[in-house]
Amino acid sequence: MVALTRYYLALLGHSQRYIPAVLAYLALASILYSDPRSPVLPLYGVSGGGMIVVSCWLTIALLDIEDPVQRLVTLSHARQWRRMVGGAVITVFCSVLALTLVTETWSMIRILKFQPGALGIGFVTHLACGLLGIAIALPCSRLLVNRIGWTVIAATVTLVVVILAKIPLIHPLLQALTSSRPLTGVLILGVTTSIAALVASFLAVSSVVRRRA
Amino acid sequence: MSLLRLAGVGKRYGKGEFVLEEVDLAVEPGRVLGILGANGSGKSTLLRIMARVSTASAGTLHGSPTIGYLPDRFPAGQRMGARAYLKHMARIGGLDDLSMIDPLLERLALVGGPTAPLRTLSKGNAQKVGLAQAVMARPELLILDEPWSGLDVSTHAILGELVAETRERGASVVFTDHRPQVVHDQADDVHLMENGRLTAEITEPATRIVLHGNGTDWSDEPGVRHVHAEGTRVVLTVDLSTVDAVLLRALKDGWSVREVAPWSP
Repeated sequence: MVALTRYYLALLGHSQRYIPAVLAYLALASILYSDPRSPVLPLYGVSGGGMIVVSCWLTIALLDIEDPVQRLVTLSHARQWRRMVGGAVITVFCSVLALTLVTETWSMIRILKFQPGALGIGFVTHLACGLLGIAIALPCSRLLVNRIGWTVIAATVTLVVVILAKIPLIHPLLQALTSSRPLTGVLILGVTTSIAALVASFLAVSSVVRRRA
Repeated sequence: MSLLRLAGVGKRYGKGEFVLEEVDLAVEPGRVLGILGANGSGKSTLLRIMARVSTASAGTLHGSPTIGYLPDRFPAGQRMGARAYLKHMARIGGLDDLSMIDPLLERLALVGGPTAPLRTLSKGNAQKVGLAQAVMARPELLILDEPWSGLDVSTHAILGELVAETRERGASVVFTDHRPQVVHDQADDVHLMENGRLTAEITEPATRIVLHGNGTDWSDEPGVRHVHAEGTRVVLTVDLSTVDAVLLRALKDGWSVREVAPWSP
């Protein structure tokens, strides 16, 4: 899995398809965390929403780089679809982790306050959002959808529904963060449902892609 | 003991027609097996199933040798260099010793050298990288889909050497091609793939007869192995012993004989 992750990181790096999403996210973060007087938790709610979009973009971009025939060559070395999809998930998760650390560090420097509780909530929120973005992207990616137009439509619709609609995934957490409501329950809900969504998405996509191959 | 044995293997995509049906095949150690067939006959599908990158819809596969797989085209569209790509593939396959990569690329005379980005390579040079990734781990079973296509003449000889070396170390090779001469030159055993079915090896020479006309149902004619019709042009593959009888009937039925030539399976 480490070798696959290294390969996927190299693929993503060479392709430069990460640049638009990462630049957009960094621009968002630079605007959000520019005011030292702003309360930090609502800002984490907004950048967390941005993280869902970034991780979704990175997953779709990564799985689109290899031509389907070349993917079969990689599969002949990796031997299992689950390893292939797992490698892609870990690769994007590494990127999410890096962006989360950048966001946390940036917010700490700009706001000039060390708030361990808020930092912890921000860290967990961003990671949960990243996992959910990967979970949304896997079934919309080239693994299952052959045409990029349908991929974009499917991912956009799902992202809008998941972020804005009042369904008990990450929406209650993001709303609680931005409106200063109690967080404990919705944080646990957000983390649990994000992990569950990723596991379900990973297992379903690995199974379907293997059966369709 | 076979390296890999296929029993009743079939393949269909979704609810469509079977593109591969009832394939029984055993790959013995140290043998080179050639599969001869026209484009679209199901050769690539069969090889993908043997390479375990595609799942059979019916039947079973027994045996799990280490496999090197080269698809019929190697679509190298990445900015990554050839050497870096091969190192990644070797690591993914669990190899620790990567010292074979540079000598292999040198032997294959990769134009642009080992650091050449994959996307800048010509079709033939990309196919060399594809070949390198398939053979570098010295697999027990080497599966090559139309490997001679796109390679220059000097690389044909190197590919022949690689196939021979694989056989000498007791590993097996399965390859496909649509040219009878290529298959017979390289393979120990030849199988024919036709309309998704793997037919028994036929070693007896035959004759190819090209006719122009219409009216006769040649599929029931004794000695006619295969009929291929394109409008008023019909190509028959006929047993050597029945050529005269088939030609006589063709002339009696008003067909024009355009070509009679030897054909080897």
